[in-house]
Amino acid sequence: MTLPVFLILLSQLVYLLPLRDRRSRRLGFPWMTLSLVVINILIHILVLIVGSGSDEETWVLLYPYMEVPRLILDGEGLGALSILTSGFLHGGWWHLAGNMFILWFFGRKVEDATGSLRFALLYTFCLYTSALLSVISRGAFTSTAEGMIPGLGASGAIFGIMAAYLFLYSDQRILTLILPIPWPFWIPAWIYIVRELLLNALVGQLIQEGSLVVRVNVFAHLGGAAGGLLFIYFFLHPDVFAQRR
Amino acid sequence: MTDAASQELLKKGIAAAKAARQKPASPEQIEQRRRQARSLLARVLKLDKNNIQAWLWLSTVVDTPREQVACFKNVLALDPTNKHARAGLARQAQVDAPALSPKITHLQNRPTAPAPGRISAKKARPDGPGCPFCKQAISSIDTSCPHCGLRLVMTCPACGQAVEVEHTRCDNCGQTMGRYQTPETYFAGLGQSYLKKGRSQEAVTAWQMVEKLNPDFPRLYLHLGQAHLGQERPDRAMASLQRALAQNPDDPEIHFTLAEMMRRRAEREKAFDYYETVLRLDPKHGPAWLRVAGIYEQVGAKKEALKAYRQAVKLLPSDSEESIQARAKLEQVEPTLPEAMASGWPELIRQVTGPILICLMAVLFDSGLRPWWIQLTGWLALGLALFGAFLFVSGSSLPRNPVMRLVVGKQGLPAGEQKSIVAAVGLIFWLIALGLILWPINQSYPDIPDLP
Repeated sequence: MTLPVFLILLSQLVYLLPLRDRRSRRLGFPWMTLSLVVINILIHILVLIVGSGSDEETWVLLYPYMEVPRLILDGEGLGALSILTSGFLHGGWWHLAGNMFILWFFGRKVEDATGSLRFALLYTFCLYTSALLSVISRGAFTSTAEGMIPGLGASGAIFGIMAAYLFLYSDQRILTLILPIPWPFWIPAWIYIVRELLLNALVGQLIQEGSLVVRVNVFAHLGGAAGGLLFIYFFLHPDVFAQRR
Repeated sequence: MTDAASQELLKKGIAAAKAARQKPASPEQIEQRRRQARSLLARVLKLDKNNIQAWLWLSTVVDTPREQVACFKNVLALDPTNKHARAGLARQAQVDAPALSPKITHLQNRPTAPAPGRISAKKARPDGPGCPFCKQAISSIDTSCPHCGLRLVMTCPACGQAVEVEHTRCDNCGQTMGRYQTPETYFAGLGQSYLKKGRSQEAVTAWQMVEKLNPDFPRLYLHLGQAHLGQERPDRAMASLQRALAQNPDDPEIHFTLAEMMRRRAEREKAFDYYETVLRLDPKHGPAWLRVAGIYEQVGAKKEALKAYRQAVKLLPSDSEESIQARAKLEQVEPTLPEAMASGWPELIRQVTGPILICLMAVLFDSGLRPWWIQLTGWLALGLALFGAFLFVSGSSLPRNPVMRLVVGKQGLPAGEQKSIVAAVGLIFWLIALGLILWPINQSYPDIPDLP
């Protein structure tokens, strides 16, 4: 067993569930974060209704709206639009719940620093940066058949939001439930986020080496995180930017 | 106009004429009430020139003896036996002789004739069985019951109109005057109304009446303390508030009033402690947040001041004066962009870059990640997105950016609605540009593979 695989297995023994941080709000209610959560949930319900619960029907229905690297690179299908639409689709209730919980937790705080409209722009931008790495890694460097496997989910953008949080509030502590330990601990925010990023990076490395096959699109996560971390500067609210200078 | 309306006017006119005789009152107040009475009675007479009562009461508020005589003569023309008019004319005849002397001509400007009621001072009020509360006989010119002390005519605390006590609401403005049947409630209502209008002396008198009638009246000493405070009598206010606090130590209003007192005395720390107690007892006390914010601002705790002002704005009724004050303060305290940032290129470029990056990514994906595939429409859409982003940034956060200053002048975009319109137009342009990029015009519908 290689060291990366060992580290990944070790990290899977615990699950970090963020509960709250100590940061108070600067602006009002985070309407944009809430709206994104609600839109994601409504779209998922709509898909369940229209797809009538049949996997086959849902697949046919959703395929054009999912992010298919090969189609994007060949200029077929919905192209750039499919990246936006795939960001609002989820593979099941657990996928949706996990993403929305993290979006709600970190999104509120990031929205507080960007303002609602800029937060929506940042979220969209992170969807694109996540797709960039995902399409390049899966479309350009893999076989055509693998390039036709679609991707979906908001996790790329959510990783971007998490990375933006890390950039903005690196000194924060997050009350985290480290399952299976039944009581929470205050841990530095960077530990939580860097752990997630490292884990994705390790899994990505193993996928590239061909020693691991997973259904999680870690390249999308890393792309989203890179977008959030490197470009949050352009989406900050002017007041916050002035204060941080 | 109906008879009922005419009667109503007469009632108001009489009440105003009586109020003009009420003491204590400043000469300005008396003159104002006299003017009001004259106007009301004149309106009655315009409707019914044979109204004897109106002529008699008008004689008590006219400016000159000549006018007074005219009033009495009009009464006698309608009722030659009217003893009030006769007595008035007789008295006027006595005054007229020395009136020729220049020494006393200035007295002619004073009302000399007594009110008709004074002639029969012992007679009960014609329009009621006596005092509306204790039912004892009272004179028609009494302004308060000599037996129970109930005020019979009072000035509406809201609009200044003289109102008979039987009217529990002011006829003019609808202000609730209280209920004379339950005297402590009646006086408490009066006290609160006076306090609201800043008439502290009258408020103290009203609340003292409540104390006399029912010393256990809820929040009596709080209101009395507030009224004393309005009179700038901190010693009395403190005594009342201490009694109030002994009765109800958890009433946030008492702590708030104490805090206000300390603030007026410039005892900032004590005031702050009291405000903190108020907020502990009632975290939604908007005025307390506003005061706390002010103290934070004074001591230079800008961050805390901001937070407290935001709370105040959130909790105070939006149309209240305090809310307006809190909003103005919030604008003052809230960090504004430094001049170099607000009017410089770097900040403009930074803010415009975010929205442009999104469109650029979309164009790039639309061309299959090959920039050389980008079509003319893509570049045009990018140009439109840039223009839209610029307008949005100019209208929302950088109205004095260098480009805008070049286009509209040194001051940049003026404040007001124009800014919002520019921002909205910019946002629409940007959305249209993104829509143009994302719309899959030349792209084919993909072949859907089998479910893996």
